[in-house]
Amino acid sequence: MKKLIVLFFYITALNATAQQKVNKFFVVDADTRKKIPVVSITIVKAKLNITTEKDGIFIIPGDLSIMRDTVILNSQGYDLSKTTLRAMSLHDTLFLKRSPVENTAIVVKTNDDTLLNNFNRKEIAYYVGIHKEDELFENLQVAQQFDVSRAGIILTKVTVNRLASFIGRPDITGNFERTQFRVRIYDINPLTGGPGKDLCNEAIEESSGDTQQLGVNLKKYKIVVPHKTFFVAVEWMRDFKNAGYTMVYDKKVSDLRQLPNYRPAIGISPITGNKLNIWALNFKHEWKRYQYYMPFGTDLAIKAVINY
Amino acid sequence: MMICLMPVFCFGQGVYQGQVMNAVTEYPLSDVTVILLKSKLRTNTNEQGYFRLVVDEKIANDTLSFSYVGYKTFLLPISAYQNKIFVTLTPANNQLAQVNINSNKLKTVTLDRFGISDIKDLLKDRYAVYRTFPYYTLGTFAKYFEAPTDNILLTTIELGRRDLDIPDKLVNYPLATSNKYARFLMHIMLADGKNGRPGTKIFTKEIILNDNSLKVTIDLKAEKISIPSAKFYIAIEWLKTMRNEIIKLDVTDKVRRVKKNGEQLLQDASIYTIMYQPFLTMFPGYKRTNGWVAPDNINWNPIKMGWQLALSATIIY
Repeated sequence: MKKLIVLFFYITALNATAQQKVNKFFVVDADTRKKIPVVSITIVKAKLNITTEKDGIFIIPGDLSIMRDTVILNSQGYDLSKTTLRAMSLHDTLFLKRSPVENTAIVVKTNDDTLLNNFNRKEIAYYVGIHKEDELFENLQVAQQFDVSRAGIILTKVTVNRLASFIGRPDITGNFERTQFRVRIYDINPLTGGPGKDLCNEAIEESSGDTQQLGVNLKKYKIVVPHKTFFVAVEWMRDFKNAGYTMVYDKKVSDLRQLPNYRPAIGISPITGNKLNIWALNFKHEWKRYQYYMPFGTDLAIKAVINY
Repeated sequence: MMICLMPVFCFGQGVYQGQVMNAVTEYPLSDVTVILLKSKLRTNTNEQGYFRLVVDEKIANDTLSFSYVGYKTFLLPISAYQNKIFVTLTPANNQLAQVNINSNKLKTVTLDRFGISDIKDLLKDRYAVYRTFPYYTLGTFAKYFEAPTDNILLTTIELGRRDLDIPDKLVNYPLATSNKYARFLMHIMLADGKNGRPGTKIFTKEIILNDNSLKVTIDLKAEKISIPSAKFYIAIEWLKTMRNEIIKLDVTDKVRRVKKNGEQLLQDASIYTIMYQPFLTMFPGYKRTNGWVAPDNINWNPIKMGWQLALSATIIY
């Protein structure tokens, strides 16, 4: 179904006429030739993105040889790969090269756990990840920046607060919105000051069915933070399971439009800090500071426990 | 002493909030001491008489105490608490309850007065029928008022806000988020002499609310707003700012799978809609609300709501 969604949007966006042609791609590890699960595929100008399922397969319809757009492939633990639709018309397999984490940080002697970015979750009022009338949400990841007093700390736990509602048929059946997402931990990029390299090579995939607050135990990953700044990001898995809708007022037609939206929406901390610590990864795979909720919303509702 | 209960909705464990009002005037009482006795938590009401106490864990048989100098202390067992409760305190000395503003033959009158009983819903189960309904728009709404004479002094405006955290999932899903902040513009406008529609703005004030009070009192005495004509409008201009956002939940279908015969297998999916504070209250009043609405804040269209909008003006003349 996901692939059909891609097909529909892509045809709409590019006004392609060669609908009869279907291009099927496999994303595989360049060394092992094994399929890579959960790869983020972004078609940049068309502002389209999906996440492949565990088979690493995706489909793009149309005659790719005449299409002009850039495709970015990204998966945790692999180098980011850029290509063009035109180049893809010649292949059916795309290779990603592993980028092993080279964490050379020296672990300092650890004492007590310290909780960073604490807040009262009952005070959360705003959420990131939902389209707004004046700004459609077109980002792949959103990250909270953490600054600590020294390098070499160990990140042991993160807690993510999301928007979760009871849906279903009232009085008959119902359930909380299920969602599945990835947690990414990043080092600082010294050039941009934003998220840089992954600090954890393993996929941290979390699902939540009945709670707004989700704690993720990271002890088994032994994540050592090499600098005084690190980032905790939520990566949306833009697939059918996480798909929902947002109603957005369209000024052009003076009416509401139903647009697809992906879960989870991530809370904004109710505590305003003295600097903006929210970053977002756009479709061009550029990390930018996320300023929509400024000056009130400076931090995401993501807590982190570190061990000094 | 009287307690008026608002719609039941579980806002979250251990949150107690509401408004404390003068039982006689129904004006808010600020600086009332509110104590959760066993939990030993305390707070004071703000200028809207609003209080909010949050406890990590409820203690059984706890009691809310409301005390204020010159008024009888009121004790409320939490077993009787319902969300966004109105508590009215009775003056201990009757003289304190008297409100006597008149002097030098000036008269004080409230136009389109409404009370707590007009904007509250006594709902105890999800199947009950609501008496009040929300009014929300995008743009500006102006309500018409007619005073007994020209040259009046506007001293107070009262607004009734609708609580959208309702339990009735048969009709509506509850709000997905809660936001205590609301910012909007309040205009005083003269009626246009030719067509009666909202005309010249003679006063504008930015109103910022930082609580979930349902009855909002805006004291304008310090502004000394003199209105030359008996016919005037009070207008509310909504501001589409991110701070006013509230997310409303609805549910629709998404196609899970399409069978070979074309049959679609559906699955529930949420739809979120961003709405903007404030949400005003309509109630079955004794007369219709004559008003105008300008979706673009410029072009006015007449509306005659079959319900009364909870918006009053207190004047001196």
